[in-house]
Amino acid sequence: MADIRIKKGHDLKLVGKPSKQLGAINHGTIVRLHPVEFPGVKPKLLVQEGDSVKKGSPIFFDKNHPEIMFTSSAGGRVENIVFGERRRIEIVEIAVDDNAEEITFESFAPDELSGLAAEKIISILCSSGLWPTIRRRPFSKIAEPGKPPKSIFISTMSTASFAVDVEIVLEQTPLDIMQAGIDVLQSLTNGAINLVSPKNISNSKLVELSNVQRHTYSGPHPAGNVGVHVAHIDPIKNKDDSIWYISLQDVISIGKLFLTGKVDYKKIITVAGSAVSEKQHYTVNRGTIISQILSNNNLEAGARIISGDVLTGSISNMDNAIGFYHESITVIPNMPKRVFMGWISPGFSKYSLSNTFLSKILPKREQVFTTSMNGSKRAILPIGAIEKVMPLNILPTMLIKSIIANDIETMEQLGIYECDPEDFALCSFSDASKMDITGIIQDGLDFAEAEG
Amino acid sequence: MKFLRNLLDKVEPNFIGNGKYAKFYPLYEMADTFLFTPADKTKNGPHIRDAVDLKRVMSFVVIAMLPALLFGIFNVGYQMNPNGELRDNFLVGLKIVLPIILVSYTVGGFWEMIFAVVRKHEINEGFLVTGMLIPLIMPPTIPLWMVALATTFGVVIGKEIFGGTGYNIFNPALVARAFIFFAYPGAISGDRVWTVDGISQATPLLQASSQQGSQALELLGNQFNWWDMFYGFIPGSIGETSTLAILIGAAFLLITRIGNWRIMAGTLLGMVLTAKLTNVLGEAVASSNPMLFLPAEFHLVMGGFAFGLVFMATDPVSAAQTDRGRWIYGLLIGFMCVIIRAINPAYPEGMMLAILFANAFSPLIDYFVMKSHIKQRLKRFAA
Repeated sequence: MADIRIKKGHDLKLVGKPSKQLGAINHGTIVRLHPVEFPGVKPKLLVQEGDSVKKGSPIFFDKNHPEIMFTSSAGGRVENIVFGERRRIEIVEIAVDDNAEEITFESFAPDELSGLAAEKIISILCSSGLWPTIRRRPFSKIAEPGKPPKSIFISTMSTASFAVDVEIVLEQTPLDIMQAGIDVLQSLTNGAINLVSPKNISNSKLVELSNVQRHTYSGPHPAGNVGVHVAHIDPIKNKDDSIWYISLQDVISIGKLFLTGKVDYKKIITVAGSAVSEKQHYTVNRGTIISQILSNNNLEAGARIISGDVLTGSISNMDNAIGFYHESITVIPNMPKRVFMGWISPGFSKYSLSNTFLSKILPKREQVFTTSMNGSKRAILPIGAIEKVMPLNILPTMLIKSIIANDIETMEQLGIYECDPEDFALCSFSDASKMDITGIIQDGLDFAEAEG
Repeated sequence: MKFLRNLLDKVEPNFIGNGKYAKFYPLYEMADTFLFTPADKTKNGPHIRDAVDLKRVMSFVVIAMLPALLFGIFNVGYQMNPNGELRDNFLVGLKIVLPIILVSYTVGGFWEMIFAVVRKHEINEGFLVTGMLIPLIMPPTIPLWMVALATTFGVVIGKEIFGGTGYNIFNPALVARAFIFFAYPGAISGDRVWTVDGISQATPLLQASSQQGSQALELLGNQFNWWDMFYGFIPGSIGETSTLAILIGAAFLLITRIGNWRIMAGTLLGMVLTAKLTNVLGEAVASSNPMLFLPAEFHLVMGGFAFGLVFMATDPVSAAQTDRGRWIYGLLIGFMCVIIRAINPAYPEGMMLAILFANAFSPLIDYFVMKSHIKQRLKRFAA
């Protein structure tokens, strides 16, 4: 058990926090799957347009791992399949029929779970469509079923902006379901199940869980990132090392599956950001499209809809489903104002981690952010700003240079396998040269995976 | 403002795509983003960005140099007529210094533009700093054609042939000064170049180095006391004389965290320790070399040490780029500066060469810091 305090980092103070209120959103008339959101997966369709599907029916699988199924969160009829460039499957759309049947799986009594064979667990998780909720480091791709990890990390804390309040999730979930999910996962590794939670949490359920190593973290973002936890508790040493990680809500889904034999596609998300009117928590189904999630909401004209959080989420739109791994919909203004001679303004209302604006000496207030770059892209200028928000034991400037130079050996020695783009999001944010540091890290990981 | 914005939007099509002046897009981009914050939006995560950009960082460095510049302008006039009115001295100085600044910015800007157009990249704000540094490290008597030549050399050979801002090994402004130092030594050293009206007036450094043994300070004291040198009422390069004005700039750079405190602290520490060492050494061998006896506080206020420490050594591109490396890099500069001043009387001004020397070594310093970091990482894994 570790209790770690992170010093380097920053909690963004943004306007648009979600309230603790929890609403429910119906899955609506259509649900969508986006095969492109799973990096490294080569999707092969199992359905055609016009096919009827049950709730839980497999829709496509991964050619590299044919046992891993991706399933429909609602029963109905396959309405539309959209292909992109080079016949990449972008969208599978299913028209929902509420009377459709549901696929069921074997169910177990709580005390049977600890003794289950790994093969059986893998087979149930893969065919139910819940396997993809388990990802691995390095590379943040879906876990490989045949290669047990040295340990599994469950994060109950997210320090990202507008993240789901873990207390709400805990309130909604009976202890035995969480315990069931953990017992199932325990069979998948010979190592520990590391449960990382915030240091100050009022709900006592986490303490009552057994079969886990508990760790607590505190400090500014990215203190809640899995990469930061792994680095202290069970660091990735090389390319062949691996840990798996999964979010608390997905552990709960797995627990429900094994206890009831049914997949519960629900998860709690937040809707937040300064450009949306009803900022709160909602229960939604996976695959629910964003226009349905925001149907009771007013959006600012032209606003950017982000599936995920403001640092690491992806640009989305009303017709897309909420991302498979995302637990937030963030909406921010998308019309940067062009300020006259902004580079020399005193900057009473500018948000910066640098000390170059007078806002630094004013009391900290929450700010409205637009999608403005706030500057133009320039050559790398190492003034030490990115080091201030990098809690990992990494030399970021050196690592970035080795990636740009495609120097695989140095990249590996500097710890590329411990890195994930999300851990560098604040570096991108604070860099005065406006470099795409998260993109560079992703390139480095792709290169290292292919060549290393 | 609306009018300006409309005008820029109206001419923009000429500079993009197949527009008539598409080649000169860097020029348009410069004007456009100088007048208005850029319209660029984030394309992926992070979807929001810090308000700071390179324009602001670079212009803040220029702001930090203003006290040294203003005092320098005054001091040029003051050295010609110590009894003159403050305003008159300032105006006399302005007449001499302003043309040097204009030449440096015009010539440097010209090369920046040429390279930006040929290489099809935006004009980099780094030149705002280089263009101001060059005049500040020139003697007031420098001929303007020499400023133009040196600026050209500094920008083209010192920076652009390495790939432009961010890729240079040496500080371009120091390359410009080194160029004059070796090509036209008479224009930048000796005792005839520091005042404009031709009166020979050696810098304190030169005076000290021409004295005998440990009496250097006494003899020096007859002409300049420490406080004169600290305030800057001494002959020297335009921006380097007033340690006080430079320290004001240093405070600004440290508060805004643009200047790296590790480099500054390292350089200062390196100088103090090495000066103590030479003092002891001088006593021990009863040397007749006066520079061995110069105490640290005199090294600080004499010559280009303070200016180099605050504005040159801290150039983030040519300095070491790891935190531990920055300490070592600073210590090396402080050490080399005193060693050059003390051991080689032919070059009483050691700071320029010390920084260029450390610039050349900074990639190596980073390399060793990186190696030790890698070793420490492996050790963590082994445990």
